[in-house]
Amino acid sequence: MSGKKVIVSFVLLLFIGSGLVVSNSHVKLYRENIPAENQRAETLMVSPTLLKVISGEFKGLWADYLLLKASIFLGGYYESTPEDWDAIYLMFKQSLTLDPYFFQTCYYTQGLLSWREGMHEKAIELLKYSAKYRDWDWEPKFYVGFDYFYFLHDNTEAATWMGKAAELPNAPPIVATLGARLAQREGKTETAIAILHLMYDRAKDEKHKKLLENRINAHIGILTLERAITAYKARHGERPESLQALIDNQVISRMPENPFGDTYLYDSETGRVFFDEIR
Amino acid sequence: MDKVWLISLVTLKEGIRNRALQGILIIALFSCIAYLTVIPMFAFDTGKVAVDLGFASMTLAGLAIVIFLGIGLLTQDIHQRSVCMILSRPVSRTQYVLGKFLGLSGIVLVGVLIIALIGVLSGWAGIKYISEITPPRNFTWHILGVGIVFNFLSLLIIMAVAFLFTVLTTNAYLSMLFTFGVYIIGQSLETIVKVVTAGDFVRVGALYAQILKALTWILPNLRAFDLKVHIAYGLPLSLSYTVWTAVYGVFYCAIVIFLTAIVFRYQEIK
Repeated sequence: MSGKKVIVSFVLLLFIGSGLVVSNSHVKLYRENIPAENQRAETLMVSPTLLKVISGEFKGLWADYLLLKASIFLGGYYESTPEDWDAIYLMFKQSLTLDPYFFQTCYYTQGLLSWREGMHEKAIELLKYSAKYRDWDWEPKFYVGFDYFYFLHDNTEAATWMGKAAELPNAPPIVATLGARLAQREGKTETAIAILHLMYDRAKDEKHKKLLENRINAHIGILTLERAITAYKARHGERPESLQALIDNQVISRMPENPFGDTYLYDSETGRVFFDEIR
Repeated sequence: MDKVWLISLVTLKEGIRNRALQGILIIALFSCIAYLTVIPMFAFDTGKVAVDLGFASMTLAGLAIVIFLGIGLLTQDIHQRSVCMILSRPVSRTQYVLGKFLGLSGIVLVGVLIIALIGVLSGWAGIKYISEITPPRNFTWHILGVGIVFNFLSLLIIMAVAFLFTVLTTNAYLSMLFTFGVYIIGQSLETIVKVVTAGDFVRVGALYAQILKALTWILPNLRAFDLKVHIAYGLPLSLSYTVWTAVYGVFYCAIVIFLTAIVFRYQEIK
């Protein structure tokens, strides 16, 4: 190759390279203002059955992808809309229909979906589906039992599912203990803390561990306040008007810390305490 | 039989000359990277994700060989009349079809084995060096072996179908289209029939349901060869199911190749 050709090639390469750098920096500039894709949960709004038909032999891989997509959104979201949670529910349902044995879908359903108001029944439906296929595993059955107890206040169904879980090999003794607690209809918040601890021990992702830790602390705060309300009622014959009354009357010295907000929310009519607006 | 072996050997060499192995190695390399990067993103059932990725790579490589290389070599032989050169010798058309099929089966087998080997090695390295990766529940080598053999068998069925469409149409694009169609239907037909029969999701007339059921006797049931769930979750696999499915696969291939040979015998090569 002659020297002239080399120079021409070099100039041409320099021109194309510069053009690429300049155009790419402009594209980056424009795209910076576009919200990140993980800020809204989106999925193909098709029936899980239809998805199963069209996925063919790649249904397992498709289930993995859907779950990864859901976890990317859940790992990075700050605010969520009901539409987001509808999409998350559909993603979990699609993933479970494609691969009903996949434990991670079951785990996310319990850890995230079942705690949302309006999603309890839907979470139970998915968990029952998982429990049907993972017949060797005590956990899906245990989650169904817990959700019946804690969210739907159906102790009979809860005790039945806890019993089914306790029958399976490798089920920890806590399952049977909680089943017994249910039969006695006692300690709902304590039960929730026990369940959250169990899930915390199994969590491997640091972000999820932190989320569960906050939830455990929030429930410990609720438990403290519930006990204080009981003590207040025993002393004054009625429930306090507000949580501040517990401090004013020296039932507690200070308000427990709420990892999800400034303070705890209180319904003076029912005496129930919440750590966020979702009840 | 010597002639059949000779043709199959030539086809195998032709496939290697067409850089089929390089393509397989690239897919295997991608699957290896996917193992070590995608799997740690999951917290549970990582063995199952590895099985999904490994078998998807195997199927994609196999389909690429069958659809592009298999159909390509056959149509090339017919259009460039190199088939006439072979048939002018004491080689029957049936021997030619059988030889070509066996040769391409050899390439698919090599592809499946390379990807399976790289998958197993990646899995072993992942389990040893990445704490997040765990082996599938109740993992057994023999179920993995049966799964790989079944994957190979399903690819052979697709290849036999590709051969039939190629000699019927003598057009590579049409043959690719029809073969891919049969692959999609073969993977979905069983689920469609179950959904239609259950009637929960969609309701159809009795005649339509009967037609769909009749199609299951004509089109291959490729779903039967999918053992990924058994490998990934250690589900029991009965010996009778394994044997009958393998026999079904062999007989399906045999009948399609038989039909291909008959069609090819009466085919006018211009």
